This record gives sequence, structure tokens and C-alpha cells, in this order.
Amino acid sequence: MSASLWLLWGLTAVLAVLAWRKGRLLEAGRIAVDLTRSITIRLSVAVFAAGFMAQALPEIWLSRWLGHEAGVSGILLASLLGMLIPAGPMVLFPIAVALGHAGVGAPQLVALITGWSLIAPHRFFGWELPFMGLGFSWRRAVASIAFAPLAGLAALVLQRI
Amino acid sequence: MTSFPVALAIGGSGADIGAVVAYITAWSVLGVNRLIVWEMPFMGEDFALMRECISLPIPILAGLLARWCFAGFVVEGRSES
Repeated sequence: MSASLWLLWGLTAVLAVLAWRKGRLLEAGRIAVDLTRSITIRLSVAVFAAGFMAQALPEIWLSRWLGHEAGVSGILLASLLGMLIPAGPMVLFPIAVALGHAGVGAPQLVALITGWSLIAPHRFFGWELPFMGLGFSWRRAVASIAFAPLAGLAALVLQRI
Repeated sequence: MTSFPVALAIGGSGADIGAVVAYITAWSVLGVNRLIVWEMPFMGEDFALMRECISLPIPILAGLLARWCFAGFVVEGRSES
């Protein structure tokens, strides 16, 4: 079992003890079962879709534009792609894993995930604009947009050291 | 998604655009719950921690850039713009 799974199990155990001490373990379990039902279906669909996508996209195209040899232009393209994925982590990470298996380089994946973290359209239009207003939202986007490719470049430099 | 109401509150209390941009960027790029629940299991610990370490300066730099570019902008939420 990986370290992250150990960490998750540890956290779950601590939280379960806290819920039990408040006498709400059963209620917590019921919420968890309901959530698991809805998430399992969505996550399975996302994982399958991402797997099919990785196989359906031509590998030559992927390695030329986003692979190890794509370098800086691949990082720029990956940043842009990340900023255009209108979905949460449940969809993004299966896509990233599938792209990784299809030959997309680690620096390009760093740029993709960072681009998505900084400016994902569903969060920008669904949450940031309604809450923060256009004046703030576009300024934040402008101030942070360059950091997705820069993170990818940093990963590229690290990879080559 | 509680991050935006909090950002609005700190902006309304007088925080400048640099601080609010740094806060939102830190939550969106470095969020530890997403790291543990999603990124580490899917991408592997090495990749996730490498990306997290590379991203550590991003909120500060984005905040400084916002402060430098948009000094004087008051964060008030959707009523402005």
C-alpha cells in the first residue's frame, strides 16, 4: 500500500474515533455510503473515459505535441489544455494518468495540472466570477496565468539536472 | 468552495488584491486535501510532491504580481467590476 493510502487510512481512523466520541459514527457511516455510491459511478465513468481517450488519441500526435521531446512548446500547450478542462479532480486526474500512460511527459503534466488548478473554467465561471466579480477575477487570472508554464519549465529543468 | 466567501471577507476587511490573489492561488494550487485525496493516489507520491514543491512559490509570486500590476484595486466582490 502506498504512503498516500496509509495517510488517508490514518486520517480516516482518527476522524472515525472523533465521530464515535460524539456519538455520530452511524450517521457518518450513512453519509459515507451515500457519497461512495454517487462518487463511484462518476469516478468509474471518468476513469474509463480517460482510458479510452488515451487509446483513441494518436500516440504520434501526443508524443509530438505533449511528449518528452515536445519541450517548451509542449509545456505551453499543456498549460492551455489544463486551463480549458471544465471539470473537477474526479475527471482531471484520470485524464492526467491516461495522458501519462500515452507518453505525455512529466513537465507537461505538471503544466497541465497547474494550469487547471489556476484557471479551470468551471471554477472560474461557476464560483469565482459570481463571488468575486469580474474586476477581481480577470485581474487574478492575468496575475497567475504565466505560472502554469513556469511550473512546467521548472519541472523540465529538474528533470534534466 | 468556502474559499471564495472567505476571500471576499478578507478583501472586504481591507486586504489588498495581492493578499487575496495569494490566498485564492494557494488554495487552488497547493490545497492539501486535493493533494492527499486525489493527486497522490492518482499521480503517485513522487510526482505529486514534486509538483507541490515546484508550486510553493506560485501564490506569493502571483500575489506580488497582482499587487504590482493592480495596486489600488479594492476587492469588493461582484458589486464592483
